[in-house]
Order: sequence, then structure tokens, then C-alpha cells
Amino acid sequence: MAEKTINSANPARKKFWNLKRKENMNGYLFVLPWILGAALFFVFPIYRSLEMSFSNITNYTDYAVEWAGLEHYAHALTGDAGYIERYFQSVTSLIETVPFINVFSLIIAVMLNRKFKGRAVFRAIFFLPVVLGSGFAMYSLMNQGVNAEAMEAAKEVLIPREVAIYLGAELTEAVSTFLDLISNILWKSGVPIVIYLAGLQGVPSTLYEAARVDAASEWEMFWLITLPMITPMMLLNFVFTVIDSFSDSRNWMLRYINITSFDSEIPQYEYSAAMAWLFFVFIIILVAIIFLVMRPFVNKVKDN
Amino acid sequence: MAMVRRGLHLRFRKKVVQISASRVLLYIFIGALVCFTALPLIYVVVTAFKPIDELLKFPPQFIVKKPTLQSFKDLVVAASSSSVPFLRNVVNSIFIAVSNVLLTIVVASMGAYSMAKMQLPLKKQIFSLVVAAMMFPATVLTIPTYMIVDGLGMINTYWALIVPKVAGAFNFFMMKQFCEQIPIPILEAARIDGATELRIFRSIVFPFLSPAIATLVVFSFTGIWNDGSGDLIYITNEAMRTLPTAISSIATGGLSRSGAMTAATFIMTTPTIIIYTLMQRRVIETMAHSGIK
Repeated sequence: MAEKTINSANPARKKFWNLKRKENMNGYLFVLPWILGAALFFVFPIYRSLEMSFSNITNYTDYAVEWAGLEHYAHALTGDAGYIERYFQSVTSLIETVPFINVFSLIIAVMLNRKFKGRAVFRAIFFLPVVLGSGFAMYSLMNQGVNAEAMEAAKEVLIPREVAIYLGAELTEAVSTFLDLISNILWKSGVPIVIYLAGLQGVPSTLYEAARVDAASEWEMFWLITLPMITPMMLLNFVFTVIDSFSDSRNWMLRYINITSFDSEIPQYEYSAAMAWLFFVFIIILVAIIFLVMRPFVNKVKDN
Repeated sequence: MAMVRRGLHLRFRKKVVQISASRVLLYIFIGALVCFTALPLIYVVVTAFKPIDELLKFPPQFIVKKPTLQSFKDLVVAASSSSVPFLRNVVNSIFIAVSNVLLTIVVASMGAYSMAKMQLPLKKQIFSLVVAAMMFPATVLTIPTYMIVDGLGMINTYWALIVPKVAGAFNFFMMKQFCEQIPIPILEAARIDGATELRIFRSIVFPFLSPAIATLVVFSFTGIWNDGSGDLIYITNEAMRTLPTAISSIATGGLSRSGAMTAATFIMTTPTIIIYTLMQRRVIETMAHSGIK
């Protein structure tokens, strides 16, 4: 009876602004600035690039387009030997680095997980490259070369490269040789190390205690307890390193796409958009395959 | 009694020896790796204070004998064009980086909170869009993004350098993973006590997110600070150039500019290292947490 009076007093409003709707409304209000930004500077550009990959640009002042069908895709897959080659290069460098990064970062994580003095400092330093690694300035400084003459001089002197770094060649030489040597492994290991560390700390210590009572060695415990317990982190790290390798601007494919769209004599923006979309689909398929292959090996201890 | 004591003592000693042997190995190995990571950075810092004769000495030295600020003076001279003093580039870079980071914190944390803890239809779809977008090659978005910036009338304004990067996918992803860990009972208790969503966000969610915010500060700041591509695309006004562009324009000067370049490298790297050092404990915490779930 009481309900009826309220309803009749303001029926439309009561029905519309129920609790659930109000909560939805609040949620959308909070996320609105982000969605607005993402729609303008993310979703729309991605949509435009898809549209352009199927068209030819007819006017370079306002980027008017006319439909060209699958022309660019066909060219990428059949007419451009360089493009297909970049797939092999990207995948090769992936195969060369990803297993190393994963094994290396697991070893480091196991070490950093032991209790010793100065652990916090060591951890902090290992993460430093992640912060500085992708710097545009560092990269361009190294590319342009500070001092060509000094670099030449350094190369002529017969010192092993590794030693030359710490004897200190010219600034650029030092940093770039250093980067050449280990950028692919150490500088990309920061995030995987932290993820493994988190995984290691999640392994219940009771398991190790029980194993120790049964006289298991450290080595056995690593293979029979630690490794199976952190398989979820291994999957995560594997996917992370694959995506990281493919989205690095120094990746072969991305360099090729970049050169095609901006540095070539005739701007081929439509073509590079088509190449980017093909590559994007390729990455998604690859990640899906990794998931399907690795899933059966991943332990789901947390669910029990 | 004596025998028991000796037995205990022996066992104790054996354990100590064993531990310290593996400890030493551990320290050597990790110490070597840390040197590998940290030495080039130390070298960058040291070199910036070398006078020109030490700078060109071969083989170069790790230690600076007569520290001088000459390289910084060279840099100011080399990078100042006739109309724009170098300090202006520094101020531009700081202003853009700081306002971008502040905006990103607000936008990403509010959005992530609502995505993680509030009723929101379609939130799964929106989130998978975010994750997919992280994998999309960004180069091909340059022209469409330019069109948007142009359409909003932001060309040749600071907005063009600040706004497009605020809604980044990575920051949002990280924040959202962190928000998932906020205990729901606390939020419910606050709601029952009559707190508005804004109040809950300010008094509960925001403090809870502080490690994630520290991480966001580090990553966003470094990204913006080092990124010179924005002002090459959107800015034609010399007075609005940022540090990376100003510095890369002097990099072609050859031997006479090598002092200026060491100072430039120092200026570019130091702020990010300082910010990282201040925030590092929380950064590592966050990366670990957002990794697990």
C-alpha cells in the first residue's frame, strides 16, 4: 500500500532511477574522462587506420580516402618480399631472446628471493633499466653519435670490447656497446624478475618445510616444488616478453612499418596501416597459441 | 655433557661455513650484474663534469680529476637559438611532464576504480579493448591522432603535448589490477555510513592506490620526459620546443659539441633516476601485485 503511494507520486522517476541504474551512472561518471580520452586518441585512430588500410588516400590535406579493397593486404602478402622477411626476423629475434629472458630472470628472482643484506638495493638496481630503457633521448643520442672521431679511435685500439667499456671509451661508445651486449636480456628482464619474485613469495613455506623433513635437497625442492608452483607466472612472463618484444619500436617489423609510412619518398600511409593490422592480428594469434599450448601445464593451486 | 656441547658446536659451525660460502658466490654474481647495469649510468654522471681535455683523453677515465661545469655552459650556448633561451626548453619539458602526470593520475585512478569495483555493464568488453590496444603498433596511429588534435584546435598549444597521452592503456591496466585488491567490505562499510562515491574515492581508494600511483608517476614521467616526437609533429613554434628536440638539434655539432652532449645526457637522465630512486620501493611492490592477479 505504502509502495503504491510512492510510485503514484512520481512513477516515472522512481522506475528510472532505481539503485542499480544509479550505481551504473556513478561508475560511468568515474570512468568517463578516461573513455573520452581513449575514444578520441586511441579507438578513433585505430579505426581510421583500419579504414585507411582498405583505401587509397586521395587528398593529403584532409586525408580523404577512396575504397581500394584488399589491394594493400594483397601487396603485403604477395608483392613485398621485405615485409614477409620482417616476420621471420621478428620471430627469430623473439626465439633468440624470450627463452633467455625467462630463464635468466627466474635465476635472478630465485637469488633475490633469498634473504641477504642489501637485497632491497639490488632489487632496485635491477629494475632501473626498465625505467630508463625505452628513453627516446638515450636512443637518439646513441644513434647520432656524440663524437665520431673518438669512437673510431676506440675501435682501432686493440682492447677487447667488454674491457673497453669499463676502461671507458667515449661516452656514447660506452653506453651503446653496453646496450648492444645485454640490452636484449638484462634490460628486458626487469618486469619478468619482479613477476617471478611475486610468484616465489607466494609459494607456501610449509611445502619446503615438509620437503626438508623428508630430506629433500635444495636442488630437488627447486624442481619439484618451486617450478611447478610458479607455472602461472611463467605463462604470464612468456606472454609479457612476447608482447614486449613485438611492441618495442626497435623491433624489425615496427621499424619497417615506420620507414614505409614516413621516411620513404612517396608516403605510403595506407600500405603501412595494412601491414600494421596484419602484424597486430599475427600477434594476437600468436599469444592465443601460447595460451592454448601452455594452459595444460599451468598448475591451478590457488583454486583448491 | 661436554660431548653434547661439542657436537652442537660443530654442527653450528658447519652450518655457518656452508651459508657463507654460498653467500659469497651470491654476492659476487649479483654484484657483477649490478655493475653491468649501473656503471654506464655512473659514467654518464661523471662524464658530464669533465673538462674538455679529460673528456677527449684516450683511454677515457672513470674518475674526474678537475670537475667543472664547462659542459653545462657549452650546452646552454649550443642549445639556445637566437630567440629562445635554453632555460625555456627546460621549463617547457617540466611543465608538460608534470601536468601530464597529474592528469593521468586522476583520470586513470578514477576510471580504474570504477572499472574494478563498481557496477558497470560492458566493463569486460571495455577492458579487453584496453588490453588489445596495448598490442597495437602505435606508429600507424600518428596521422589519425594528428587529425584529432588538429580538429580540436590543439596544434601549437601545450595541450597537444599533454592530452593525447593521458588515456594510455598501460597506466589504466596497471591501476585496474591494483584496484581489484581493495577489500570490498571497507567500501561497503563506507557506503553504509553514507559516504558518497567521490568521498569513498578520496578517502579510501586514493590512499590505497598510492603504490600504484608512485609507479605511474615514474613511468609516465619518464615516458613524457624522454619523448620528443610530440613536438616534432604538433608544434611549429620554437618557443614551445621540449628538451629532447632542443638537444637532438645540437647533436650534429661534432667534436666541438661533445662537452655539451655529455651535459645534455646528464640533464635528460638525472630527473628520471631521481624520481625512480624516490619511488622505487613502491614501484617494485606495484609491479609484483599487478602481476599476480
